[in-house]
Amino acid sequence: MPADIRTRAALAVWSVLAFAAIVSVPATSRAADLATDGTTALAPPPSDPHDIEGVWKPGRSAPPPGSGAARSGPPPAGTPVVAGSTLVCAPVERLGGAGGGMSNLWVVGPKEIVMISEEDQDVRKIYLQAHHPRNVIPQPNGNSIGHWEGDTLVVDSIAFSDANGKDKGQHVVERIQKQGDRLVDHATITTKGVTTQRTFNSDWRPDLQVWENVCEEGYSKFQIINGKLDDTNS
Amino acid sequence: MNSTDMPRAGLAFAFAGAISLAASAHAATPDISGPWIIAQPHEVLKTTDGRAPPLLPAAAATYAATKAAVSTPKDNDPDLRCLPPGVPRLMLQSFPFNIVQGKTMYAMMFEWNHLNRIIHLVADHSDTIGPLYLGQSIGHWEGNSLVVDTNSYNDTTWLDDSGLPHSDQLHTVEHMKLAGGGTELIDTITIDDPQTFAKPWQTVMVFRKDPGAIIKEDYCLGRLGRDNLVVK
Repeated sequence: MPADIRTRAALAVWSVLAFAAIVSVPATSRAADLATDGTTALAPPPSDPHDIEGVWKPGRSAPPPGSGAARSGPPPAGTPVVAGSTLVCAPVERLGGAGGGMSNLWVVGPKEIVMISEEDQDVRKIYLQAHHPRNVIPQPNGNSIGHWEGDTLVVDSIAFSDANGKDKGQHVVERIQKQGDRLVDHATITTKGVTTQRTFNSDWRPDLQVWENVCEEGYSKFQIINGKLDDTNS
Repeated sequence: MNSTDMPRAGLAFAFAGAISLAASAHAATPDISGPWIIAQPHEVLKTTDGRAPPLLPAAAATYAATKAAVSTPKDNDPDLRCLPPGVPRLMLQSFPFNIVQGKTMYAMMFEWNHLNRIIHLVADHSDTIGPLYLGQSIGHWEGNSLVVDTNSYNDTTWLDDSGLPHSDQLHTVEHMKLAGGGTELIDTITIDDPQTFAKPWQTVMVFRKDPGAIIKEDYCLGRLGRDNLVVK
C-alpha cells in the first residue's frame, strides 16, 4: 500500500475514533473538559430547559487565555472590499451565531428572546408570538417568531434580506434545545424550493462575557483606495 | 435634588443597603419591556434645574474646541464614523430601542446601528471588563425604580450631540421608573466624572412607549451613505 494511502487510511480511522470519543462524552462532563484547558471549573447551566440565558460559544474550541472575550482587530491593509460583506460592517445573518471563535449572549424575556452575536454585535430577535407581522420588513436576520414545544424552542424565520435589502425568500425552521451544557440548534433552511439541514452546537460558557466588538473601529484608521483598504495615511 | 447639593461620596452608597435582585422576583418587577423612544430629543444636556453641566476649566476648553469644530463639517463627531455613541447619548437619539427583561440581565436593544446595552442584575462590578463605549452596567430594583450603575467607559464618546466631553472616569447611576400608566419611562441619570465635572450632576430623560414598533437592524454606514465609499 502506498504511503499516502496508508496515511489517509490512518487518518480516516483516527477520525472515526475521535468522533466516537466525542459523542460518547456525557454532556455533563464537557464543562470539566473545558476546565482542564486552563480555566476554573464551570458552573453548569440552569436545570430549567427553558432557561437558555447566558453566554454560549459555538463549537467546542478551547477557551481563550485569561478571562473575557476576544476582541477583533481591524481588517488588514489591502483587504479587498466587497459591497454588502462584513468588511463594510453591515449586519449579517447569524444563524448558528457568531464566527471567528466569538460567543453569543442569549437574553430570555417573557415576550422575546434575543441572541447577541459578539461578532459585530449582530442581533437575532425571536418574538414569542404566534404569527409573523403583516408587511414584515426584510432584515439581515429576518423576522423570527418562536414557541416552546416541551423542552424545545421552535423558531420560524422569514424575510431575510439580501445585500440589496430585498427578501431572498429564505424560510428557516429551527428546533433549539439545551442538552446538558450544550445548546443544539437543528435548522431546516428552505430557499427557492431547496431544503438543507444544518446543526449548530454551542457550549455553555458562564466564564465568558461578550465583548463590545465594534466593526467600525477599523474604518476610523483606514482609507479606502481603489476598492481596497489602505493604511498608508492612517 | 438638584445638581448643586449632591456630594460625590453619595454615589458610593448608591448601591448600599439590601439589594433585591430581579432574578429572585422576575415576575413581580415592573414590566419595562417593549419598544421605547426618546420623547423629546436633546441636543444639549442640561442639569435638572436647567443649568449647564459644571465643567472643570480644562474640560470646558475641550468642549469649546469641540463645538467650534462641530460647526463645519462635523467630522470630529464619532457618530459619523458609526462608532457607538456612548451613554447617555445613544439613548437620546431619535431611534427606538427595545428592552428585554431576562432573568439575570436586561438587554436594551437599540435600532441605532443594531447596538445593545446589557444590564447585569448582579450586586457589584467585580467582573468588569473594559473600557467600553457603553460602559459596563449592573442593576437592581429599589421599589419601582430600576437602578443602573455603569462604569468602565472609554473616553472616546460624547455625552450628547453637542460634544459634551467626559473621561474614562465617568460613572453614571440611573433611576428608571414607569410613569403615565406605563406609557412613559423616566430615566433620571446622575453623571459623575471627577476629571471633567466639578461635582456630580443630574439630568432627566423621558422615553415614551412606542407600541407596535419593530426595531430594525440599522446599518449605520449604509444609512449615512458611507458604504458607497467602499463600493467600487
